[in-house]
Amino acid sequence: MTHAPEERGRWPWSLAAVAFAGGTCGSLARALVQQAFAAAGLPGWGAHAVVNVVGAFAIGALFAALVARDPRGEPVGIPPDRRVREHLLGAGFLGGLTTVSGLAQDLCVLVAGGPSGAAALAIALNGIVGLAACAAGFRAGARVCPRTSRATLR
Amino acid sequence: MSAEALAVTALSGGVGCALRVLARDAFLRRGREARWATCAINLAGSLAMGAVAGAAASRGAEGSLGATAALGLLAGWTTYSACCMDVVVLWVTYRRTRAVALWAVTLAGSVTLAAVGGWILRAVTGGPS
Repeated sequence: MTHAPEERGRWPWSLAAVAFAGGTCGSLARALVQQAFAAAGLPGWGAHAVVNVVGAFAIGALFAALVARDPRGEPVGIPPDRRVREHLLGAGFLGGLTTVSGLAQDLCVLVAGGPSGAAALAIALNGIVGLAACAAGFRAGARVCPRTSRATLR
Repeated sequence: MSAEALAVTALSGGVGCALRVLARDAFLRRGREARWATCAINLAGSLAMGAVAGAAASRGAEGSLGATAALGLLAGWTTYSACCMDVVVLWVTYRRTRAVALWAVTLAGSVTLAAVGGWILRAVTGGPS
């Protein structure tokens, strides 16, 4: 995410601990979705695509709620007093929920010899739908939280 | 997935997230842009994922707790959501060439590196390629 310069060097260990707490919950949620997909006889790559699209929408909304904007209304970064929330929910929970490495491994297997159409569907979901979901979440969050999004950085 | 495997996945994922925050902080201290730090983290994690998945498959150890912990760590270490957000922010702030570049590098790079990771593992262990 975009951050202000003064973030550099500020309490990395406590933010890492916060990200551990959020990331453990997010990873558990991802594992439960995978388990539900397996129980329903659905492929594992589908579980990764679902958590990625859902997580992308959620981080868009979260970022819109937490970000500071310049006078033109453009996002400039997360203010220091909201950084713990951002690390708990964003870098932690949603970072643990979503995965690029799992997606990359899925696509390798699918491209090498998965069922026809599965690779194309996985690429479309992760490459296009996820990004659109993130933009939609960002717009929805800005509409719900117009007051916080006008906050300034200092 | 057993309760044990769920717990291992959750905790190793949490550790991966914490390590990502620390690595990102180290990148920022060196004056790198946050979004390219996240990109580098995702690419490194994908390379390792290819190797770990290949190693687990070659030993028939896909369901073992060690493999579960390693895969969980890498899944938590990498993040799709933050990368998406970086791309959207670049796009809405009219830095659209960079938005497209970041997305293309992340998607194409991560898949390519996962394949390379698997290939390196097979080359090292002498398994079928």
